[in-house]
Amino acid sequence: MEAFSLALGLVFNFETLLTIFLAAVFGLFVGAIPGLTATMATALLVPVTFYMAPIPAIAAIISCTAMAITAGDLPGTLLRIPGTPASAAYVEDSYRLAQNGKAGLAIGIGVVGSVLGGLFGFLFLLFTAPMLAKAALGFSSFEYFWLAVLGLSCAALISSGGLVKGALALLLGLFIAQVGMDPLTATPRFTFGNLELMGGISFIPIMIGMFAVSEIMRAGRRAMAEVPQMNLKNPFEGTMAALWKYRKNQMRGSIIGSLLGALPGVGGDLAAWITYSLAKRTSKEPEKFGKGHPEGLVEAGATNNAALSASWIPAMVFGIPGDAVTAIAVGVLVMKGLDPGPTLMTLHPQNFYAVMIVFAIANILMLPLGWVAAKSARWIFEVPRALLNAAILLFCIVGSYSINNSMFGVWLMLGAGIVAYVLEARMIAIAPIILGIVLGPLVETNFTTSMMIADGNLLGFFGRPVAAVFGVATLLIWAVSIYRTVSDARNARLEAAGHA
Amino acid sequence: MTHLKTLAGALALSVLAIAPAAAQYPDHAINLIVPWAAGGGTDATGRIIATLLEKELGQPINVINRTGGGGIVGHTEISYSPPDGYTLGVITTELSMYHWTGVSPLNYENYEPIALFNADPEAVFVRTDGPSIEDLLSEIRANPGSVKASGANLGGMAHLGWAGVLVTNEIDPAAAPWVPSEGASASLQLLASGAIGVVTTTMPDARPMVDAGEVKPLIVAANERVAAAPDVPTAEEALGNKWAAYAWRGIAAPKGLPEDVKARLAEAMDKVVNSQEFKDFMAQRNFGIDYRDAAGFEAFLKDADESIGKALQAVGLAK
Amino acid sequence: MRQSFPMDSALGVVFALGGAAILQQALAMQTLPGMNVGPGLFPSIVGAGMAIMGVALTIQGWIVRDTPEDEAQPLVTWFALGIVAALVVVTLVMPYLGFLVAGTLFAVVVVLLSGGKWLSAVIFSPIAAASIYFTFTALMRVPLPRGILG
Repeated sequence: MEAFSLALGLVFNFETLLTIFLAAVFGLFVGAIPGLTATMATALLVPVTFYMAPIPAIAAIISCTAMAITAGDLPGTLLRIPGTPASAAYVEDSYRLAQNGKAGLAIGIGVVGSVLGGLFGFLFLLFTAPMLAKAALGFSSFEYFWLAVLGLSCAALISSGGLVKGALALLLGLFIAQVGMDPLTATPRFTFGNLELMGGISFIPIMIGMFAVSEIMRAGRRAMAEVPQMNLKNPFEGTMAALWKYRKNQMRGSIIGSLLGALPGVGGDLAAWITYSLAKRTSKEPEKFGKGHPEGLVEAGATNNAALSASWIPAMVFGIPGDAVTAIAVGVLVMKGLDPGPTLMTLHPQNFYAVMIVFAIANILMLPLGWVAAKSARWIFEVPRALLNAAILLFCIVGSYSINNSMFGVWLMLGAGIVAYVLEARMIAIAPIILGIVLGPLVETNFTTSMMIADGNLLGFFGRPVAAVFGVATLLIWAVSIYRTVSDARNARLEAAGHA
Repeated sequence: MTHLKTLAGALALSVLAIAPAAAQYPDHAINLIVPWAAGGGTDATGRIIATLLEKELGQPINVINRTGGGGIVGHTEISYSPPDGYTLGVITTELSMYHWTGVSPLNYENYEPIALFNADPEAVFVRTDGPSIEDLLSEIRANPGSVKASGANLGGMAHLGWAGVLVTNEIDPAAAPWVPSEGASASLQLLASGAIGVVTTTMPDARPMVDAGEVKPLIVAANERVAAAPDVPTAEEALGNKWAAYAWRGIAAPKGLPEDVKARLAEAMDKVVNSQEFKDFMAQRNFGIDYRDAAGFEAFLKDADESIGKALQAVGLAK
Repeated sequence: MRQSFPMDSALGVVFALGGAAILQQALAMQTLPGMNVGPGLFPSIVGAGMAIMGVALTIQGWIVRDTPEDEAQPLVTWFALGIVAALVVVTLVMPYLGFLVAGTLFAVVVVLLSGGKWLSAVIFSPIAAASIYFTFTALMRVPLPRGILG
């Protein structure tokens, strides 16, 4: 525990605390602007951290990322532009809540649920980090493949339009992910000789187009100012009641998030989808999901932040960063002489604990900053719809442009917006398309790698115990869903025949 | 409408025409394309160079990971970018191989080399509880196909390093098939989880996993032992057959870079590579420094192209 | 009133044909020498899946049929067409005019399309375009097209 008190001293000084606060405000700002990502915010911070002491430097990155990701829920709730692939899982619910005049509650659940999830992740990891990291190392391409398929299946099967439409949305996303060069052999696919397509299709312009542009095309001239907002004095009113009512979801979301988050590269994006669908499957009122129901929001929101904390574990313990943000952070750690890897735990445990404490502080800081954000969010509803439409579309254009600094992203956004406009009119959900794009390369790479290791024998996918469990679970979920769809269709037909 | 377009076009052109003369390079942010995943060795070295180069040039440098296709996606993007000095890239060993293995027509002539900064030999790794190099090779001889190897893409330096170990010991490379991956960390994860038997990669790439006690190096395919792991024998010491395979990294720009911009970059890189900060970083991560200036790098690339072509033909990987 | 051909079925046919096209393209992709799995395998699976699910949607659309309320909302509205047209034009001219000019003009058009007043459009648009331009170029280092004002 001596290391722990040393760590407290490293964190609780004016310089570090001020850095954490400023980085959090910066993260809030970047995350709340549609099209700007946590990765971008982190990359922009690196040159600044160059002139700081090690702990404030890493604290800046952690607090900025955590805040940017949570703030990514704001444009999702208010404008239906999810900030991260994870928040696309529950954007439908939070957006509908806001449209029903409960923007404060939606943001409140997002913020408070995230804080609790993040703090849970912190406590959980404080004790299990090395163990968890070790377990994650036992995952090969077989386990990753099934896990990714399981997450994709969850997204497709819970979507509101039913199994066939959900599956089609998912397949469309997987196809979009294949455009460009194949991840293992670099063969160009579906590029028609176009150089821009050769680089692949990024999910950000697609996400912006599918969610935001299509929503504007649909909402048309309907005035947002007509949406009466409640709880102006205390925007978080009702939040605690909702969290208490769904405390089981909160707990389960946090645990699953902490476990899945520790898998490098997959955890963060997948976990929220898995727990959202779990919430729907175990709910007493699954029909309310996607229409502004807090239950899934509570569970997936908690998962999101718990997974975020956990995603730092493989980076810290093995020096294997799972995504761009942790990779940048690993770079900063190395430059500051805090070599990530097992020696960080043994030689400099105070640094490890200091990083964990920064997590806790960043999470707690979300409460006041989130409250202010929620309080000012109602201004959005007072802006005339006509002006809001123009501003949102400008943000969409700039956000899509900034991915590769080319107009190509804007074309993608426009095309995606039109496709989504048509699909949503026929009840085909957009969220599985986005997840398909994000996880497509992961599924394919692990599938192909596994096929090579197993010499093309499909039974090899069930040859390792954990893989077998995931595989059987995935197949069962599909079998049950297909059976249900077919029997529902038959009943509907019998009923129709009976009426005729 | 057409009038407006013409006018706009003319205006845009005139602005473009004045711009280079008016501005002193660099006057805005530079993108540095890294063709490999975030967290790998190329990414780490690319990021430290970006940070130090930023100080030299006085403009922000954004590191962009363009992964996929065994580095081809990123390498292609570097070569296709406008040669204005605002897009640079880290080019790696694989560049000398693409056209030999026939996966892409790219070669060193598509680039303007600026500086070579690193070279490391490939080493052979197994799990910590894995066999010795002799036992590993006899297992492969006895049961062809039972041991799978990985390290990076198909036909990359890691693959060549492994095939070379087999060929110099008179084993058919097909007896221990290569499983392509997105890079060293993905392959090491496969090795640690027990899905495959061997990984070839460089010492610095494997170091966190070696430190964690998950994997161990058996031999290095080098001319002499490396400072980072003095206990690990060379291929020649362990098996009696000489075999060396080095992976390298350098900074390059698209072909057609203006001379003054190239000179400015080369001068800045010279300062970066010779700075204490860079040397400390490379030593800390066990990366070997091999610095060559623009002309030296170009000669190196030409030479590497020929020698790697010969090696690939020898092990049957060339088309 | 029943439509002769349900919308869902029409969409199903589109997906089925798309899936078939993907499958056909994917099967033509060659496996690299010395590998048992090629780049076309996964696209073939996705293409085949899409074709099968497309057929399933066609059948499902036929069985379930459209409910009358489905037809209540017209899919193609003047407003939606206007937004798409404005986006197409702004994307085409932005590289030449730059973000400030093209963005301002675009914002004016969108405000008017959405039923806003001329005065508010003219006041709001340059301010919105300029503040977004400043945020992205100065703070976020995104090199937005500068165009004629560059």
